[in-house]
Amino acid sequence: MNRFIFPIQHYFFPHHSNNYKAKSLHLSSLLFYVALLLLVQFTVKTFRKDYPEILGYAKDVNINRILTLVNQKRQEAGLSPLALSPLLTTSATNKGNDMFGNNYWAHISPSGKTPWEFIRETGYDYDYAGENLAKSFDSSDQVVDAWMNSPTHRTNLLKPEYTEMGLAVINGKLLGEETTLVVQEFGTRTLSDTVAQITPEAIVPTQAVAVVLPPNSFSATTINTVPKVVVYTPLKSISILTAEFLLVVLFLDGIYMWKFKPHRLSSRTLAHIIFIGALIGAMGATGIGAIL
Amino acid sequence: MKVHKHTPDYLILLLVVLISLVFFIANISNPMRQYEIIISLSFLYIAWGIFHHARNHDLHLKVVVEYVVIAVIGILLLRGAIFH
Repeated sequence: MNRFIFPIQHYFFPHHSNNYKAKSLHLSSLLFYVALLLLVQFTVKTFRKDYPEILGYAKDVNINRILTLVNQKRQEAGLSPLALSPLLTTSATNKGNDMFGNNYWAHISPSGKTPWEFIRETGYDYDYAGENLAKSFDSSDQVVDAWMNSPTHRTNLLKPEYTEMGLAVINGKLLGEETTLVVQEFGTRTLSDTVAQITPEAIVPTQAVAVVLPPNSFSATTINTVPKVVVYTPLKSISILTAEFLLVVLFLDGIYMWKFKPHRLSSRTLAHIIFIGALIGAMGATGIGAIL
Repeated sequence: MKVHKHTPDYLILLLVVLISLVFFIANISNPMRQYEIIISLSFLYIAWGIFHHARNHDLHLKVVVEYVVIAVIGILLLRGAIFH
């Protein structure tokens, strides 16, 4: 029996065998954790590049689903559905690429370029226009739910004046994070522009995409931006588990210190508990989808 | 009522941690900034440890190294969580 109890006492509880400090909190153990974390993070990131299908899970953010959901919400609110505009989609794609290229998360680029300029550049003349942004969500449903839960984004989604929408879903590294960015541009063409566009060729796709867009009806640029699989790694889970393990051992050590008050030259257990506890709290605010 | 001699130091640490957490959550859409906040918190944590033990006349190299290693673990843990 002692054969099983002794290692547990030695590694996880203050005991005479470990100089009254759990072996798992000794400096040598802490250095071992540093080395292990570095190794795991390096291995996972290297492995992820070469074998993306092994480590991680697929994300499901796509244009068709977002378009369907947005139009469902509009129809529930008694509004007409939005058509997917190729020009607004090009504008959304350009905006997304500009965000990745210049590494920013904002409606206005660092050089001062507004969403309206991106829209006008494609030749889309509008009476009304708007923009919604989203990043780091796992599914199209989460994106639309987040927009619907935000009063300003909801106003855009349910604005009666809008008749068309452009969508781009782009993968890339933004502000140091591998992410999936969703850019949504809204618009209502000016009357003269609409008249100019009314040709049989222009009407057909508008009617066809009113509810669900056929997958192959995008321009080549748009098709390339739709992600098939985005891979996420287990690094966050490893971080949480390691922090929780440390917190538990620190608590056991803290209880012992509080009860027996042994004299030992060491850092403060309570301080470590506060620090590691805060880190666990902070981890809850990482990797969460954001809208703008 | 007797106030423990370490209480003011721990209150300072709690304040630093809480302010950092508020900034961290406020930057939820900016992972790079979140990482910078955690690095700053880790440095402040080491500084707190040195300050606290110096005040208690038990500052020793081994103690400083422990704070440094815990701070490094903290940075690595958050790096894993932020840039998963």
